[in-house]
Amino acid sequence: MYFYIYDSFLTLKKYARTLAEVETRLTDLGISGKIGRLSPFTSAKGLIRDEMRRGTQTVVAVGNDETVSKIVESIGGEMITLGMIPVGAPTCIAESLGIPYGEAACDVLSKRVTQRIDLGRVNGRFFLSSLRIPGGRVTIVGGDGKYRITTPADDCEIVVSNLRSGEMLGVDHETANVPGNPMDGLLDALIMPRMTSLLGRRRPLGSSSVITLKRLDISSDEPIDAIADGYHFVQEHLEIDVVPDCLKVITGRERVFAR
Amino acid sequence: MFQKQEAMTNREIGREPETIISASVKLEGDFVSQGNVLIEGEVVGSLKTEKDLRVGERARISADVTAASAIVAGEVRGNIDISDRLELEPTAKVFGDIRTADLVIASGAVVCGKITMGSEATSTAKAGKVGRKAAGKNEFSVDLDEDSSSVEASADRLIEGDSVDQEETNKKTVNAFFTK
Repeated sequence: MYFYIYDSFLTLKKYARTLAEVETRLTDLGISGKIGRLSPFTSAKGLIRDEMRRGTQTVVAVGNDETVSKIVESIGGEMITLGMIPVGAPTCIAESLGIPYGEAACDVLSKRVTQRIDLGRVNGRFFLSSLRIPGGRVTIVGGDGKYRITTPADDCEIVVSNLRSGEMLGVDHETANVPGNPMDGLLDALIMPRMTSLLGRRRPLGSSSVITLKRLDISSDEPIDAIADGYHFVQEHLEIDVVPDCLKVITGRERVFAR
Repeated sequence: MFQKQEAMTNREIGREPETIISASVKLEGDFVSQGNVLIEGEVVGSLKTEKDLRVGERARISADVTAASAIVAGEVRGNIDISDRLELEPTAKVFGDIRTADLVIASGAVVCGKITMGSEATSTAKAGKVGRKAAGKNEFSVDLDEDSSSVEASADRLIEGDSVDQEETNKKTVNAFFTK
């Protein structure tokens, strides 16, 4: 049984046609199901909890990366399969999983190719793709406290990535452009210099660092501004780790890992 | 069934981890990696990898280094223990002892320390025996003194028991060039 969760922004008129096409296709494929809608007063967690009691085993996020983030945060560690129908923007997570935009995603759902993947966790909150810290001087402690990495200055961005998506393309090092494998039980911490625009071309100010680890702590003298899969929050200290085999997800043939 | 097999295969194969410490980043402490490591920044403490290490031209390492093989173009202050092959590029500066199976030193590289070479050298180090006595092996030791720019090289061969044929079999050809 499928449970579809529509994000609140899908009530906008410009998405009406796409949603109508999606619903028609789902009915044709025989995988239509109950629909829940997010709103300022309805959380994904509450909707999913109620449906789990009724025996739902597959939850489908209809929306963008932030929609997926809200649902992943709710179902991480549960015996529930996650599917996606990307509508709106950005949809980098769905792209990385090989799921096409809109109506075409319904065919991927019906084929139901699943992979069990890792999730990242920051201060108890799950993330599927990446955690971004846009700026600020921070200290990274890795290897269970055995080593410490100091970032150069405010002009660099830190990304802790589980499944690296297209948004990171353009980083100078080839390694940084290789998609992270969400099935290896590791996270990639990327320390990337800010991009500068020179003569109309965006270039990094320096080279990037990449460190592969299972667990890391990030601290700073000031509160840390962070974004986990599009969800924005501020914390004094970040404890980040990887939870292996945490989520069963429906993927397409064009996924960027485990091909 | 086939999907499950595919997932298993991918997990078994895994991905080769890659670590890059770029020029503007400083790493302090005991860093251990299971994959290839590229250092272009600063490292203080100890550095150990089970695979290959590359130390960039601008890199500064104040640490004991252990790796399977290494190419050094920057500065290393500490002992280097390489189980396979060590290459020092023209810009390399090493202030510490080197223990490796195979060594290439390019013209212009600076080494200040003791070099111990030979196929058994690294295994002896692993066993925690730093002695020079070993049966049926060749040991090559070089001391470089930076102040006097003098090079002292000595090859000690301690053969016990086995025939000369065994000695020839174990002999290692070393192509090392030292230029000050």
